[in-house]
Amino acid sequence: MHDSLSVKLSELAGHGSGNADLDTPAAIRQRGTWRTRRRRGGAALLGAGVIAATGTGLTLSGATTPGSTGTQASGQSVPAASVRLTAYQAHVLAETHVTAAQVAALAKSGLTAAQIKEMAASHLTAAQLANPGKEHLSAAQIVAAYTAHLTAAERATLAREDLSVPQIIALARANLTAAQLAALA
Amino acid sequence: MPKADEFDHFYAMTSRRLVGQLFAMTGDLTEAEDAVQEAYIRAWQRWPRIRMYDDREAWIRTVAYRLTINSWRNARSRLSAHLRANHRTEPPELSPTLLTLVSGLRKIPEAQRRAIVLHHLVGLSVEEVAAETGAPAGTVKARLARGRKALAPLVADLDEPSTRIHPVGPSREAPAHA
Repeated sequence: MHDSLSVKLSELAGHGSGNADLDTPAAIRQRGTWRTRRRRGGAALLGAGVIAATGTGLTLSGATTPGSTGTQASGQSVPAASVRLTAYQAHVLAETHVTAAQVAALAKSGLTAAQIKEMAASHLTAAQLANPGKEHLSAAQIVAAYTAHLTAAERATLAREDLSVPQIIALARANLTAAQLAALA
Repeated sequence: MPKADEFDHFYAMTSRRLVGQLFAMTGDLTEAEDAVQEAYIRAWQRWPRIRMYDDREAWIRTVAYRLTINSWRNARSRLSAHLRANHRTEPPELSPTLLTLVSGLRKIPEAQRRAIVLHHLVGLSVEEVAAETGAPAGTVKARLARGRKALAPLVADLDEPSTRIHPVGPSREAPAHA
């Protein structure tokens, strides 16, 4: 009888539901709220960066733009001038033929400098990120990918831009700030 | 009822049951827990809209199921499960009968497994399964027939003509496992 299958499936489901180790509803809500805030915060930062870039004429092609200091900004709240690429950053990116369009695409997808560093540290390729089911990932790479928390849009952009490992490492070395990435987006 | 209270009530009433259903679909309890909780997080992010749905439980189940078949997420889930392994009590082992059933379910295609669980465990009609899975009713019938045939050696008397099975589990949004 079909009932026999239903009964057995019920026993199986009962085992699962009876032994489920779930977070409290408050914890679930907190995680949802945190994600929403993070997304909104990122969008606000992006908007601020675009406004800042409009006034500074940010470019990837110039070796040294007027006002560059050669130092790398690290904070999120930065003055408008710091969205300009330093000579070092422009050199590192040019060395591996990372184009302004590629950086702009990555920035538009919301990829952060921290995520780029995670990928570079474990030599994750764009192909691995795009198709993890088919590509072999080492334990370190899975850890890095997990830590990087890449969204579907970010993975899709990485796959589209098809960046090589040296290019991703170059991006990490360039250490673009949030404001610089936002300005390029 | 305040928004948070309403969500908490919904979570308390349905989460464990949904983990059970996802467990039957995947055969992996940790993966089922992970996917169901992720689906609830997403539901909370869209709660003003989701709360208006007639069948919110079906939305959670569909999202959770999609998460389990996402290969990229599976890699992350495995890591997550590994990291959580040290912090949870190992659940009791399945009986030999249920282990055989899990093994049999894992051998049939995902679409058949999903149809079998939705029809025989959740208690949805063929039309309702078709609506939830986005497949034509005829396809659902074929999946059910093939799935039952594959599972027949494991469960007695499975080869009778398809009829609507009354759900064995609790009705929708009834209190889940205590």
